[in-house]
Amino acid sequence: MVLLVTSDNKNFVVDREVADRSVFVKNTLEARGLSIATPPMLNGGCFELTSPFLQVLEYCQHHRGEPLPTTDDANADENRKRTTDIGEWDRKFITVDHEMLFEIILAANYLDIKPLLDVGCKTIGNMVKGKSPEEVRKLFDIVNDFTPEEEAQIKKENEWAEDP
Amino acid sequence: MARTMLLSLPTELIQNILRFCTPQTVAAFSQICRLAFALVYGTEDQHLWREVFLSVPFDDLRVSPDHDPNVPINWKTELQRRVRASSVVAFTPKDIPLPSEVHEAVSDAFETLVEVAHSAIPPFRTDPDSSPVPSHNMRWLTDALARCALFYHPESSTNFNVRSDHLQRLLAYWGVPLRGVPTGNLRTESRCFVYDLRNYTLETNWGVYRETGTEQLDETRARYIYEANWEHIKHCVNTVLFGVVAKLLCPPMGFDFIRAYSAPGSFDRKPGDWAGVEGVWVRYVCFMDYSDLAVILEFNWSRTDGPCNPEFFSRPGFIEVLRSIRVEIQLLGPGDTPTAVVPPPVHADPKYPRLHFKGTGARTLQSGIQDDTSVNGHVDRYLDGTIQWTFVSQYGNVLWMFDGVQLGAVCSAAGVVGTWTSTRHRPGKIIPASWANDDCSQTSQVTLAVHRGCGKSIPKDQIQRNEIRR
Repeated sequence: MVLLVTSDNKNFVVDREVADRSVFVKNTLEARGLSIATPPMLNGGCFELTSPFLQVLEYCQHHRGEPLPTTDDANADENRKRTTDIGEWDRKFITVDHEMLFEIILAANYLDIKPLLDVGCKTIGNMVKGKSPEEVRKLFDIVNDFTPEEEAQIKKENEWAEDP
Repeated sequence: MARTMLLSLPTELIQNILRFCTPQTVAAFSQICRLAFALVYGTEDQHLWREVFLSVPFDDLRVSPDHDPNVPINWKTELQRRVRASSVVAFTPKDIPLPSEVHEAVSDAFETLVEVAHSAIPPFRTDPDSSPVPSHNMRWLTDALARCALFYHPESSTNFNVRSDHLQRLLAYWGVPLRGVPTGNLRTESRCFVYDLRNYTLETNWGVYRETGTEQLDETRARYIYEANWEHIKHCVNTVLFGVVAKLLCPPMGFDFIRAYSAPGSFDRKPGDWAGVEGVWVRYVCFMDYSDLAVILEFNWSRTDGPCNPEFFSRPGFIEVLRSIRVEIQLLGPGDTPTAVVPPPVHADPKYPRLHFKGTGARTLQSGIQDDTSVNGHVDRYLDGTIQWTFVSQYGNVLWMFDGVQLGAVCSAAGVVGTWTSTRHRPGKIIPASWANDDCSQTSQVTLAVHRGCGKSIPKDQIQRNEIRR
């Protein structure tokens, strides 16, 4: 068992196999020869930690024991072929509000859980797929801060992607 | 506590999200606000563009056959050209006249597609016995062309209102008669082109070329510089393939067979044999019955202007012969190099020195007698990537000359296609006017030499996956 402490000082006791989903935790434990505690200090206080961390734990528990992704080229290539595919369980798991989604992505990035990071990024990718800039702004509550001149210029810059 | 927003994520995470997006989505994303625009376009860093390029997916340019590690790859430009090309060809109508100002854009788009084909990765990385690696490029190309009415209606090729050599080249690579698409009167059209002797002059190098300029050999002599004429080559491919299909033969043709080093034996080449010269080749040769001169004359001189009479080919007396000939070819060393050949032209690529070869071929005549032939020739590569093969074959005292180009990238399984004509025009390569109206009174003949037709080739299931899907 491993004790994990979040930056808002909540303690979680989890199986080593679950904790090892995080390459960060795994390496830390291995480097220190510890089996008890590690503090994944999540970007100190920018956001509420406990709730995304609970989600991340749920993910790790579900995927415990699966082989960790390797980084060789053939595998990267394989990943590309399935770019936007997300597994059934993962898709349900990641169906959360935007803010939680971003925080899960941040946590997955920090804890180095690449498959979860990819699930989060793919999900956002699928959300913006085929949408116009205005639709993306609405979706993520983003303000258009271009001047009309700038808007004309960026349109020109993106002509390559428009239908002729 | 501040809310976590999409654009408050660290840059590398936003880039990681864009990695899973199509190029069009990346373009739309860049237009939402200044920060997003700066994320996509505000950096000289090619990382994001490379990732988006590879996730389309395309074959990695860093392992493409002609990649020069000393020249940096502009992933952004390459990706944008390809995306643009696929939408241009999809939106080009096949039978509505186009304004002349867009012709160049359409031709450029097809040129880009040809480059995509040529930069496909070789099917075998290290071990020729391993299973072949499918090419993302060929998959993408096939999809792009499936949306292109201009390409997909080859039977209406005479109605093309866009003259694009690159489009013709893609059609030649595809091998229309083998694709199971309606071909209309394509066979007749191609025969009218290849058997029309007006298409064999000094200006065409008595073959599948067109002249693009002149080169001074010395004070008194000059010669033409030629480039491949892909419309002519396409008609050669069609003529032979229609004959081959009728005999239920199946030479390797199609996009997977034009990939670099797809020819069997490409991995066991001799040092210096950049073109994959040495080995066993199968030549498919198609020609009209040239013993009946009256027939030739009737076709070729039935009119003084305009096309030859297409009805000629449906008359009962018309005979077209198809032969397949097995040829064994050896590369000649520097010591054996013949001296009496024309030097490589000015636009030959110095990185690929001319290779000389000799060989022997055997065909079995109807009488059962073995008829041997000797072959002597050379192969050049030009700066534009064209690989030109020339050889003279000798049947007893009769000399014939083959001149053609590689279909696709170097060492492609599809092989070489060109024409087979009398050698008597040979000195006409030098321009003095007295040679200009040389005799080409022998009928022109078309030959498709398929690269080493024996041995390993790409499995059929993989070919079918790259067929046009509609």
